[in-house]
Amino acid sequence: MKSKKEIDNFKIPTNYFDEFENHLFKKLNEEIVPKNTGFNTPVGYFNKLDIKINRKNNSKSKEEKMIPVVSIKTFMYAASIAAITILFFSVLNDMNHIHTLKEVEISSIEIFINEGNIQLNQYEITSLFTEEIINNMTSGENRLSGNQLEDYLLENINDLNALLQY
Amino acid sequence: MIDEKELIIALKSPYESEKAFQVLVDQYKERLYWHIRKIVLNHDDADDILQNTFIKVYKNIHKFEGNSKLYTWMYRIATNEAITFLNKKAKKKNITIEEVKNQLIENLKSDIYFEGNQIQIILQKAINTLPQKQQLVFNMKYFEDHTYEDLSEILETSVGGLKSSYHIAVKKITAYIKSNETI
Repeated sequence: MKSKKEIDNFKIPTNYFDEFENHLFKKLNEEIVPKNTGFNTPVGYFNKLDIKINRKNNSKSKEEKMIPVVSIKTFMYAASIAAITILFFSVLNDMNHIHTLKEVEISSIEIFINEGNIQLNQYEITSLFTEEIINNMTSGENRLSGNQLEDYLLENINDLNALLQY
Repeated sequence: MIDEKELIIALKSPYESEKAFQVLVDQYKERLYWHIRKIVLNHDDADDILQNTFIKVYKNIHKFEGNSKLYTWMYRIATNEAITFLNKKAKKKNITIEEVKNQLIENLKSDIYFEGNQIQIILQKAINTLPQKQQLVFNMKYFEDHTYEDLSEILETSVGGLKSSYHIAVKKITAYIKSNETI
């Protein structure tokens, strides 16, 4: 370690030690990683470049100044009128056609219910059935046997281990 | 060299814009060209992208609010143009951007505007192993010696992030070159 006297006598550039590491690694890397990419350009390329860019810029400006035969505004008006007409007729056509429940596929109804679009509790569902149907459903004749229940569970339950925990 | 603020005012003025644009092209053409060339590798592509970059700068100068340096704004446009070009090329060929770059590196061997030898080819292959942003950081720091502050404006990344990104890039490239030198 240097003595206090030596430190006072010598000065170093600002941030010397902060940048030392970067300079050292840069020097080490340059021995392995080439500093030259090897890319070249045609002779006089940069001298002619200004003219090329100006020419391209001017030609693009002229292209932009050209007035189209049908203006965008006219096109937008025509497109809006066409869209309104189509919408009007499709709504009118839909109003004349009344959908019945028979036209809807059962699978669509199942999907509709499974997605939670109908939220009915047990009492609301039973209110839709007659007393006779409910009695039949709860009578001993219509109850499932142990084997039937087992077959049903084996066929329809994917995770039997979860069920066995209960 | 004309002051940047004066140049921006002149570029936005309808009476001085054309002359100011010539000054702008003259001042930045070489720096931007080499920046683009390192991304797309091929001279003709770099030439097209450079011209488009300057035209975009000219047409959008009124949108430049001066929140960053003019030159970092131009670098950002050039970088976007070059990467968009590579992405389009990849999409057209239905391959990845890395595969496009590998093809471009292979083409360098017969490129009349490439004077490098095997080590320069290996260097390009090493750079291509890096993620896109690390490639940019490496090229701009190692070859062009931008400050981290300028890089931060161009690449919209923190200085700390850029420093670690650069160090990782250098380590990866050095390791790649060392392991491929004898091939």
